[in-house]
Amino acid sequence: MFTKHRTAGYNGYAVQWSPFFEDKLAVATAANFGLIGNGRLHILSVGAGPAAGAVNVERVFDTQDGLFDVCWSEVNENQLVTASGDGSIKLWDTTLADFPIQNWHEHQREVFSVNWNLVSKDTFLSASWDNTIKLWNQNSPRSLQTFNGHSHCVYSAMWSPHSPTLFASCSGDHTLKLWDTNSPAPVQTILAHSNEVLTLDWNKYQDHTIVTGSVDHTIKVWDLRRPDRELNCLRGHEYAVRKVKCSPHSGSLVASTSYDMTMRMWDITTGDMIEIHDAHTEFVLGVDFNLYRDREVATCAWDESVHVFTPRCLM
Amino acid sequence: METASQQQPSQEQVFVRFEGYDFANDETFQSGLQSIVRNNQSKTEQEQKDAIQSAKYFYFTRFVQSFDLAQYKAWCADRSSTVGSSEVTSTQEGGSTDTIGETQAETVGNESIRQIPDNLAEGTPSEARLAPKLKPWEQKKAAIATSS
Repeated sequence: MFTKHRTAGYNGYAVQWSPFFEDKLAVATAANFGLIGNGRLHILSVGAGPAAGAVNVERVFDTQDGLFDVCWSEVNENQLVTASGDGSIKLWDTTLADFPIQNWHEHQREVFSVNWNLVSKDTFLSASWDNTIKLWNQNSPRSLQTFNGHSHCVYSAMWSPHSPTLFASCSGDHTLKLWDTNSPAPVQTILAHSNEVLTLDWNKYQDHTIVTGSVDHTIKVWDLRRPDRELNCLRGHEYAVRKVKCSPHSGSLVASTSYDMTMRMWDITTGDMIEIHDAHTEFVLGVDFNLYRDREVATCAWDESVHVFTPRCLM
Repeated sequence: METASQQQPSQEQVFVRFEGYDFANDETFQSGLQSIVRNNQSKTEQEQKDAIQSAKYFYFTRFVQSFDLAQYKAWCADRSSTVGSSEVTSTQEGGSTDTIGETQAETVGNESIRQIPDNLAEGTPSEARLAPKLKPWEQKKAAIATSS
């Protein structure tokens, strides 16, 4: 199966499958490549079985500024949060049209990532180019906490899938930092790459393993108990690595996207590249594994298209 | 036999070409630049400069010749440590800084960008009806726990 959906006029920045419905996919996009102009959040329903290949647009929400990331709520099946170029964070309810149900504006610059707590499920994180990370509760009018420590843009902050208080962040300051919400300062700092670190994700099956991707074109696998050196360095991308995603189904599988216009998949236990998806014609930014259809993957790119397919390595 | 690398210009040649590129007389770039300037009016001077610089990079790599921004920045940093950075930026900006002033003066709305009010949705947000679903890794852990 290979399904292509056009997000006409909007360049893809992030995709995420719903944690409640196996067919629902959220796509965060921005007009004019995110440099100027509006944003649009797309809620798609992607068919399976006899309906495979059918994409139904359930809802679109337009925003003043480009959307750089999206994350579904872990507590309400209809809600999701987005990160904007204008520094705002919006909470949407797919049962209500046109406008968000919450709009927070505390960050001073672009918000590049939002991530919902996978364990306690009552908070989420935002990471911004203002060098800070903020902790939020969907019912609070203001952020609960601000984490300072990075000396450059924070590109991503992601909760541990195993702990309600532990999260990791990566930054233009070349580091990966580990934080606990009980402490204002980072609990661990790893000088991870020789250039900006744009993305990270936690391995879902190994508590101490994190994967990072960088402008230096490489992906590194880290064991937080041995921070002096990476376990593995995965080479193959020809330009900056924009997103890494650990499979929810296997501890050895990682997907990555890059400005080299490909999505690739890796076996991190052997270090082998096992898939190259080169059907996009512009920078590939978003990738996500469907949580409940275990071979389905979605990608989005600046070519205004979303691809949903089963990679050859998973057939 | 010539190798591919011999046929391609060196990275430095590309950087020099980028800096010497006549953005001021490139109509396509200038038309895009006007809307960038309009949309960055409320921002600080540095932010406006950054937006213009990113637009130049974006335009050049897409339509003229692709290069890696990180490597370009590293190259600029190397050079400015020997040449003096202010000199570099002033020559690099060239005519386009003048155009920025002009286009700011011409500013009148922009049809391509929709104005979306900063409203909140009317109506009552939905209540959660579904209990959180176990993630695949949680299901596998639960299966192992019950089987042992």
